Amino acid sequence: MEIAGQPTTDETAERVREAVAEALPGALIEVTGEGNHFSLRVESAAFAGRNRLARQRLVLRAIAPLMKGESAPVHAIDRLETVLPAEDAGQ
Amino acid sequence: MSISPELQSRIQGIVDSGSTVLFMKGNPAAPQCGFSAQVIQVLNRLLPEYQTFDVLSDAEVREGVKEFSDWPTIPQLYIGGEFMGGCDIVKEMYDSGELHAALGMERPDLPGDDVAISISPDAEQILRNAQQQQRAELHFGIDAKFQPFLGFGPATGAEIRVPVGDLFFLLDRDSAARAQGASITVVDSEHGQRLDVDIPAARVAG
Repeated sequence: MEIAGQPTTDETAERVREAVAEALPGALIEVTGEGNHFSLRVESAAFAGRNRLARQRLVLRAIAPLMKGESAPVHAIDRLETVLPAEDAGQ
Repeated sequence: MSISPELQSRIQGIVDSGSTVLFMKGNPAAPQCGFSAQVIQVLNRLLPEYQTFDVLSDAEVREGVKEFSDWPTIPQLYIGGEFMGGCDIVKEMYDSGELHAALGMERPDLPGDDVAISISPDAEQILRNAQQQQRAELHFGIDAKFQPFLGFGPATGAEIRVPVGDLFFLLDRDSAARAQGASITVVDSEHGQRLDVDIPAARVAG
């Protein structure tokens, strides 16, 4: 159900994608969403030399403004996969 | 954006209040969010006791801890004062053995096919009916306090699949180490029938 004035899941997914793209130029970003929950797969060379926590921080920091407050468009990130382009084949 | 020095030191105080501290929504007995519940489930496998802080009880900490940890979501797990991550990371760390290592614990070996769990025919019938309704995998766990857990949900792929009667139970590795010889029966209680789980390992530990 759409509520007037509330962004749709697709609109919010696009905002999430744009926010991550701005923080990690050149990244391959897949965003899927259901309601206000989203899952992301981000492939970026910027993850090189960073552990899982640091990688997720890079992405989450970019999305954080969309997660602030009770009426935030993004309520939760259900899944966040961060991979290096070279790690792709092994995953 | 930054938080006040007072709030900073208050949150640091909470982080330092125990060796394992979880910022969560609700409390371990009644988590108020699915992600907090999942982390509780993982921690309960490993630790009989740990500290939690209910951010729903404190609006200042609820927002402040996000700045403090540079992490936008709750739950947040700290071990030995070090930020570990949120729900996703905690589950991955459990599956990879990193969480055992962070807690200074020995990771139990994967048992072979020799985890023997028995079930009475009436208990098996109850679980079979429930599973047909839920259309999901049956998860069985025994936490660090030897409290049994039965529930339905998708497999993560890291569980151990144990045949029990004609059913299959999915067990995490810590539960599997406690499950040897467990037996599940139906008992009558004042509220009707319920499932009872006998756990021999609990008597050894007790």
